[in-house]
Amino acid sequence: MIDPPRLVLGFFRWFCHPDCRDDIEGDLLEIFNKNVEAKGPRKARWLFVIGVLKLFRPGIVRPPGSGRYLNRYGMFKNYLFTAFRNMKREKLFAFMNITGLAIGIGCGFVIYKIITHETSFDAYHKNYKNTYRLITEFNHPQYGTGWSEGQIHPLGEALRNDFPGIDAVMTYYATDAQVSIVDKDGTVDRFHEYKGVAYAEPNFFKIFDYDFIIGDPDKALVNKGSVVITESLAMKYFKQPASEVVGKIITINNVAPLQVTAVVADPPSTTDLPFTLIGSYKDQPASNPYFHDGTDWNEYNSNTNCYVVTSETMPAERLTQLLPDFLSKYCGKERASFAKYILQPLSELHYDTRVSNYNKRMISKTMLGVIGAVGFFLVISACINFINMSTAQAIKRAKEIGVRKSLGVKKGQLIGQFLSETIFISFLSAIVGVIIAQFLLMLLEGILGYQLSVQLLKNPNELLFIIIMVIGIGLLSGFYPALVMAGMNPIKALKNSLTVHGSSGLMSLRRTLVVVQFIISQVLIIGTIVAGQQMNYFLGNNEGFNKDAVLVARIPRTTPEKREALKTVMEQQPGVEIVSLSCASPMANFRVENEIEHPSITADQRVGGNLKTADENYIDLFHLKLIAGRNLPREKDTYEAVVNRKLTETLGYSSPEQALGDKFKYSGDMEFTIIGVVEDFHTVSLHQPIENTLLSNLPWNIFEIAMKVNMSGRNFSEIQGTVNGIKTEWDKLFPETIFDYTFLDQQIARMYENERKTSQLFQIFSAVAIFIGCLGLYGLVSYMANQKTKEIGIRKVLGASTGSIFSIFSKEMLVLVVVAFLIAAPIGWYVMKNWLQGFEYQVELSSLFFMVALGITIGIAFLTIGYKAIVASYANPVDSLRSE
Amino acid sequence: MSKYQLGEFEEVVLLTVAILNGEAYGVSIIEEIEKRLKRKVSLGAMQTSLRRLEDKGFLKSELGEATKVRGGKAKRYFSLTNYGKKALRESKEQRMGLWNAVPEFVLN
Repeated sequence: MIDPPRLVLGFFRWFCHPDCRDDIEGDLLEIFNKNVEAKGPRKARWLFVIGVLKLFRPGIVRPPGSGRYLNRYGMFKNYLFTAFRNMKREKLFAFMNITGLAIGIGCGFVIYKIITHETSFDAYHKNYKNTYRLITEFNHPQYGTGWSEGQIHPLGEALRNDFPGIDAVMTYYATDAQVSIVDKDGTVDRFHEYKGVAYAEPNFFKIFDYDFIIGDPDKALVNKGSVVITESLAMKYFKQPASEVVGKIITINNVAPLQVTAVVADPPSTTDLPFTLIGSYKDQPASNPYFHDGTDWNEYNSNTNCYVVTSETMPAERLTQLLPDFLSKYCGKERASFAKYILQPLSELHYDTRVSNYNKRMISKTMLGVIGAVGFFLVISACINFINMSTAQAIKRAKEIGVRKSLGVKKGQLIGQFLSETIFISFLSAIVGVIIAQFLLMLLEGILGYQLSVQLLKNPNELLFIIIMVIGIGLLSGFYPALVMAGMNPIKALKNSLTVHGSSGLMSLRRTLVVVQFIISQVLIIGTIVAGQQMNYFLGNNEGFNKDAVLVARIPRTTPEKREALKTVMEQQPGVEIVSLSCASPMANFRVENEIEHPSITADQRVGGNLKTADENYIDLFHLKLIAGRNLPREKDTYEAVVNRKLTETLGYSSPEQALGDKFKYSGDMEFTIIGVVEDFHTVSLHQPIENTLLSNLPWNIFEIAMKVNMSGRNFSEIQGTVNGIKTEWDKLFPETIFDYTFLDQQIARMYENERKTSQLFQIFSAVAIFIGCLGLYGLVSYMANQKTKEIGIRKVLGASTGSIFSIFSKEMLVLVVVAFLIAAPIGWYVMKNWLQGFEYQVELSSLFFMVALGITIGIAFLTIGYKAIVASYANPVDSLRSE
Repeated sequence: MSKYQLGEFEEVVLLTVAILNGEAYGVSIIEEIEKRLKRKVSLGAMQTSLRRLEDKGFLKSELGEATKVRGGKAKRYFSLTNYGKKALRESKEQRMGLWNAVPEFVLN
């Protein structure tokens, strides 16, 4: 007897549905045997193989798996039903669980949005990966290493000429500008732009991506006198759509009429080149008084940046090697000895806090990490609540579990049930959480400075993030309670003889979790306090000069006579005490820094000095303290200088008086005589140390008028009247320039914008952390109160006082808070110490801050538990003991 | 439309089962079809069709005695259910109705 191929038969037996396996196999064999007789064994085998293959089709192939379908839908429905019933029975717990998780998810989502926003800066440019900004690193033997983003105006052209294979573009970003538009009937509209005004070389649009609505990117900036604006500026200036405005004229600062050659779409908010009005490079004298014709190799300017695009023929590494020679070729060997060019990747522009960017807002990756960690811990804290409350509740569900178990439910199935329940709850929380996130984002808009919104449907990543959170939080917070509940002994559970106290491990885990929550809250509180104190220190009067009631305004470019006229007019205004013309107020972003030469300074040392142009009123107006010599004279151009104490020390004098009459050279070509010395004051923000400073009565570099307004004893409308008077006089003198003023204290406060935002962000998130913690605490205490009803009743019957019962609840909390504090304090100290490293002038990390944090936590903890504890201790023992 | 949904091949199989009257199992049906209609049918096609007809309720089946010839495997004998018979009859009537409606000269 000839057998069919065994392997093929085996295959058939494997795939065939068991119901029809036998009879079909019989049919197969019958056909095979007939074929053997009729066509011979060889052919029969082939036909058998083909026959089996033809049987491999739906209807005969068995279903995958065990072949038994189990429909679990009904079970899931039951789980959901049970979950609902439980939530209905324990409304308070359900409410607190969902609220806590929702807040956690909401905050987590907000932080996710913030981080994705901050990490997406400029990534949309097609050259993102190989664009670099050229920054300069200075190595100073005494003062260490410093960095500057400012470059020389002709740098781009030289780079393009010397290095084939790269592209380079120079950009200049104006601090502000006045834009005037003349409309058809000859009236002038004036706009003051505080941001977005820039000048760039023609190849700018080759390197950076802008969406052109109209106009040719290659030609838009080629000709002098051309300008590219964004769609929304086109609307703002001309009230016409983009296509209508090409060819129209925009005048910058009343001096440069520029013709619109193209209109681009508004750039996204995630760019550190936030240009909305881009003039051609050669037109920048309108905003940049130091540009001249752009060929000076000595004029550095922090608003002038240079971007380089590398290519395969000239990669960044190769370019870095060639740059030192380039530097000494153009800027001289002397500069090359202490300075070098570094290529800063475009991707670092937003994170590198060594140098500024055009948004003047960098966020270090550490800071992003801290924000991320805060978000993570908030979510963890919310999960801890959930774990605590669910395990506390576990005993109430003992009966259900007992019944399920005695009906044959396996442990794994019970775990599955509880996990699906928590995932369901975290799903509900996510819905609430997304709503909370949207509110929070709206609330944070002022602090963050940009607008974000929830876009779950538009952005699949956000949806994915939420789904991952729901499942992750569900598993994380559900796993332990599920394990505890599924592990219950069914007999004990049904007999109602289970106690949570029976397993001490459970309680200690719960304590640990509460401690972790307190640690999170306390670290955040410490952070908030320290950041707040540092902010107060910044904004307090520590600068060494007066900044109150000082009104400052930029003066348009004009003649010296007109400036003096302005000063005279303003001095006569009622309510104006004293007026001073200068380059800038004592502490300002505007700085002039050059090298000081003096016999006491050796040739290899380089000492820089900040030159401030001032007049005879400057010292009086800002309350600078003259400690030696005399004030600046009224006459200009005498090259006399009042210096600060630091400079006299730098020049080697032990007392300020000795420095009087001495001379030093400045910037190579000027010589100043010291006529007075003032006490040190801060010229840059308190992030940085005090520098050598000299005030001189030069006739140039006068950009600002400062007026001390009399505020004492006057009400708001009187002060407003003074300001209006100033404005009226201003408009008479400078009808073409908007009178745009700030008060100095506000201007200075703006320098600490980043710190203020950080501090506010911390405040909000620590408030959230505390709130979540309190929810958990409240849940635990109310659970404890329920558990101990009888105990309290007996104690009261036996004569316990209300206070002693209160202490049952509070003792444990107190211990937990203190333990948490012992861990939180060093963490907080370490983190804040690091944060403070970023400032030259820092508040002392005193133990008081930590004590306050501890006090706040204990206070809040007691407030939370207090109500429940008092209610429990006042309860009538008859009520609690009557029913058994 | 008829309430019975019969494919052409299904109808052939049902008719063959009827012809074989009690002797219809996988191989015999195939042979009968090959003999009468000169049409090659694979076991795979036949078996799927039989299962489907059984699922639809046109056929019922029972296992016969095990025989030595087939490696000791029993045959599964198929027979028509009343529902299957009805379906065949209706199918025939529909065809006849159509035939009768065709004017005679058309097919001549």
